[in-house]
Amino acid sequence: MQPAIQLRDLSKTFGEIEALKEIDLDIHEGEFIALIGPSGCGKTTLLRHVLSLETASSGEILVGGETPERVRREHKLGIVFQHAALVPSRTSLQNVQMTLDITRVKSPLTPGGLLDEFGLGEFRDHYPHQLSGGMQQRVNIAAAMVHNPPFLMMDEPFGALDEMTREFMCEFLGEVLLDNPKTTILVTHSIDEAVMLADRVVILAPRPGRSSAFVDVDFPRPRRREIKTKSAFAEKVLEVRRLLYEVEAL
Amino acid sequence: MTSIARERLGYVLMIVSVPIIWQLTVSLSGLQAFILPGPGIVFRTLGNEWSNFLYHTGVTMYGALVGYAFANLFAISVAILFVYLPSVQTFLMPWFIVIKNIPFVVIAPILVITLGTTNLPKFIVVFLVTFFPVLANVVTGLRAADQVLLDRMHVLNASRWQVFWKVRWPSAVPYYMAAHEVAFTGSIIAAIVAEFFFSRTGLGYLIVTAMEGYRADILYGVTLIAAVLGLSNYLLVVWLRKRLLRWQDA
Repeated sequence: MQPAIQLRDLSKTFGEIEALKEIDLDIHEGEFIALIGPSGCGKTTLLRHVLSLETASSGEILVGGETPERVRREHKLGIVFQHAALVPSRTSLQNVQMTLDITRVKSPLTPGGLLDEFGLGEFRDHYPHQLSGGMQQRVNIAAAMVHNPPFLMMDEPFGALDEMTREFMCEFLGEVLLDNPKTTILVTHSIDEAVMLADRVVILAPRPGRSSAFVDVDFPRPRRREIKTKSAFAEKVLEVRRLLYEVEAL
Repeated sequence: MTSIARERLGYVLMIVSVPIIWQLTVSLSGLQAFILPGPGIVFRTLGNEWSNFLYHTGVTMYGALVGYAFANLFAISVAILFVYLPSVQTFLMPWFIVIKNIPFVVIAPILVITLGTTNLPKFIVVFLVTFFPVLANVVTGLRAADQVLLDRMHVLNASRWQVFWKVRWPSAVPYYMAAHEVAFTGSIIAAIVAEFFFSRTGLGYLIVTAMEGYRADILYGVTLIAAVLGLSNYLLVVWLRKRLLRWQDA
């Protein structure tokens, strides 16, 4: 079967700077990939290529067999950034609804239903500034998923949240994706988060950004946070950390 | 006491204090009535000649509003042009800066000898005084749109129109309202000053004739009217802003 997302020899230069160099990566349908690496390794840049927010200097990207630009036009992409992309003058419900207004996609999901499912039913008429960071991010994820895109791209979605909220959001996201399977790329700084959520962790080396190692994570799902107390989890985290240190020493 | 009640109380106290302080000043200074008339004389003049005052106030308001409406229309259109075509800004901005910085009292006589004693010079003076603050604020507001939201719009393949109405314009509204607070009152000042030069009607004309005839009672009457107009304009803008930006207080 053809991979859902293929990066072939992807390179990107900004002027003199080589941001990404000859990246090869195959992502299967429904797979959850965590991209991790030291800052400046091009994780976000890579993600932005898949989202057609950047164009490659050389190489090829195929998303569902098509160019990112086409996939974008077909409304098959969902994005979640660290900073919630919500309009301050619109309520939670209106912010989620906005995705459907723009894409005009016939989705099996409804904004109200999704917010209920996300435990935000009571807050549908609240404005973003009335919500906590974790709640805003849940509204943000709802807004990114309501048109039911097959591809979900996340750039440090929980980066601005405190530790407890992060753990809760990780569990939450895992469950949501179990119900609505998607091919997902998560950019993160947190090894814990990567191991907790991903099927495969991709470690990027910096300057220029290139893929240097892969770690498969085959813990069963749904994964609860108790998994973090198990030694198998600790070993995975250790393995990723070791690879990350090697990469940084390069 | 709620903060709104406190704010209102402040205005009531001010309105009550003005005639008291005024009368005290008259009594203590011993100035004659043709130089500093007391509130009694001024209110009597306003009462006796109310239809006259009303007429001239109407003329000034009309001039201010028409000029201001055009200034807004122009400023918003140009602001949109600037944001979508930055090169236009490069060419036009120096012109606007120069026009804005020529004292309008210098321009007014030129307009009168060119255009004659029609309403047109007054409209133009009001326009010249008020368009710039609106333009500057709306440009800033349109540009202040959240980059993350703009990226989300791009990934959702939103049209330019959708991006404008759903993201850029809502971001500009608070800035636009702030511009009104300054510029709307400015429009009345500009209309009055324009009337000094050529008009046979309006509050500015009333001031000139009152001055020539040593009618201090009329001068103070016009001052009162101008103060009431300015204050009501300001309060109207504040009220409008509260309504439009209700979500901020939610």
